[in-house]
Amino acid sequence: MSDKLKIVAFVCENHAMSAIRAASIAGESLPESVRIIEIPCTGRLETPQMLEAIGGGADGVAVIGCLEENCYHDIGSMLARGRVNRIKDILKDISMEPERVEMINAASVSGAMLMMKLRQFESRVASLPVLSLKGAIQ
Amino acid sequence: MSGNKVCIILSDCQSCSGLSNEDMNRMLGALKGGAKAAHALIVKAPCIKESRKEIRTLHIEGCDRAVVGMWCHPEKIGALNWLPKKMSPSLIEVVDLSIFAAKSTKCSSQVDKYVRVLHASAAGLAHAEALKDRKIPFASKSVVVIGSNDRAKDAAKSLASKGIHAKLISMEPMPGVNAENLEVIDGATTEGLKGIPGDFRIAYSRKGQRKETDAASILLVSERCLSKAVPPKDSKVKVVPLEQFRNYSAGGAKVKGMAFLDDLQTLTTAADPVTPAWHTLLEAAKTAAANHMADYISVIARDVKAAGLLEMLWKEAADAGVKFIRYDDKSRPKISKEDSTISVKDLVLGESLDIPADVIVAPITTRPWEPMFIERLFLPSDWDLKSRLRGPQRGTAQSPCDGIFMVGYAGFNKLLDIAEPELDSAVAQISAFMQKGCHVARGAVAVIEEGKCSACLTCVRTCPYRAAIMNESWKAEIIADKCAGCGNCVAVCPSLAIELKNCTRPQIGAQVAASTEVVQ
Repeated sequence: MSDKLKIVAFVCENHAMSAIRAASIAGESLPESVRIIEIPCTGRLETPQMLEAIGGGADGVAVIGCLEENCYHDIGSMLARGRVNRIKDILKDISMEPERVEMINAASVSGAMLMMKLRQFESRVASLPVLSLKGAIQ
Repeated sequence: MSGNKVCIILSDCQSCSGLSNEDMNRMLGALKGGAKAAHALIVKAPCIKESRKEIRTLHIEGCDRAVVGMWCHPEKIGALNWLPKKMSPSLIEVVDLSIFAAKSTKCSSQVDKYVRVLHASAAGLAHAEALKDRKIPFASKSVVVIGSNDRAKDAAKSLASKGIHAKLISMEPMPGVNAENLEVIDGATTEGLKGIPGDFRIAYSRKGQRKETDAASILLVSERCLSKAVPPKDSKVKVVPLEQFRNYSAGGAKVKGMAFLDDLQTLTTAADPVTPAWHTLLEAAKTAAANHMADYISVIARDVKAAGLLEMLWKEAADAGVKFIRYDDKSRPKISKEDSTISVKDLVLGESLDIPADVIVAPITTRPWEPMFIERLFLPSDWDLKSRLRGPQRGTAQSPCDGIFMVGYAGFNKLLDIAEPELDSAVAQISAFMQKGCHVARGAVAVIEEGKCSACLTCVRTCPYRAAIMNESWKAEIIADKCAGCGNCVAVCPSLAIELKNCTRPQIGAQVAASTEVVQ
């Protein structure tokens, strides 16, 4: 199941990356399908980049940022949430499932919770019909 | 695959990776087979820790960037001073492969995943450009302490005793304060601040004259000196700032009525009262009641927060004989001009009361975020700063701006007992900051492409560090010294005029493409 599944995770290099490191120290591993792309702040992420990932063949896109009240760069994860919601709207408009995109917030210590949320997201995406967008959008 | 050639360095530490020699060779073959990486290099050493020298002196013709794959956390190795010397630090990416290792499955079946991760990193790095940090030596050699209380005085003195030239700007006269290296500017009000860490310029007015002083670092000890809060004029009541209540209570004066107000400014302005430091206020009221400092002791407040430990404090104060009056926004407390009473409409009883108050104790400093000063501090003023400033990312007494430290109410409302150790921490941090001697402007900054800017001000409004400004020709400009390289302006710019140096669009695009493609 998860061999074919591809989830692109945009991870902010501050709290979210620390959370992933903390989880790996604690012995939790990333879900098989998740591919990490490290960015300075989730606020740097633009909507085309998320669509690019889906167009390129990813089954789901997760945006992992700091907690909104405690974002390293103050506003980044707040802006990212808005963009993720916009992507959900776009996906709805083109009759795709908005569940393919999700914003996940994580504190730097809550690695286990982040992994749990990622696994839940993975199983949600796995239950959706298979995308065959690879090569369709260039 | 376009972009520059990237070399991949990998240690064949078997105990950490759990991969056998066979798996390693397979991985090496896969890495070399990929069109992206010019060279895949496995450092033959049991651990990267023992092959530091080999990596340090590594040099490959025509290849100026490298991905270093490790099987343990980079922190475990210690300082990253073993990375290739010939390459720019911004062009080396250290990847911790252990976070991708699935603990439940066999190690040998994960080779493909490791190869994919390394290839994705290499694809992004191929489009990166070399960045250089700039060091700007401090133009000033002095530290300015702003505050008119005893703690500010102590801080300035302890800084001076460490051999740092300290300037104390205080609103009130400070007689008898003299020490070596200490300059006292008393009776002065600060009016503005500009510059970068190491070269701040503080404007202040003293006796009607406007002057300017330089500072490498700034320590704000409560915002009293900056706050415009003043006791109401032509009233007979005496106003005691909450932070000086200890000194006042030590005097042992006895009065008829004493009122504790949540915010003194509500008497004069229509602004919303700021939530005071309830702990301090209630403790003070309790002390006053216990010492019988007045016949009638009351606490007048609009918003009452009584959760957790605070509830106990409220109860203790009430048991000690303190009366609580809650007022409404429509009927603010007023000080009577004839006699020393406060007239306030009680929200619960619904009738007007005249409360005897010869002395009003109020936190004058309860407006920690005067927008006026924030502008000059280039701290972000919108959003709820109280929580933001105290995230784990900033240490004790630190502010979002490097070189500016805040203690006591200057940071946010808190117990005085907490503020005092903060002061020691701030003094130690300042002396460490001054020893650095230079401000490092990072190379990882956002830059605006000339001619593309449409002057829409979006980046100016968005930048959390106030690094984006409009220049004289009415085009946006990013001050590189202030930019933290977060990229929030990049994504909001409608004209796509901004590019983040350390994470460009091609870089992300290449990584996305590498992560989504099918690995054979």
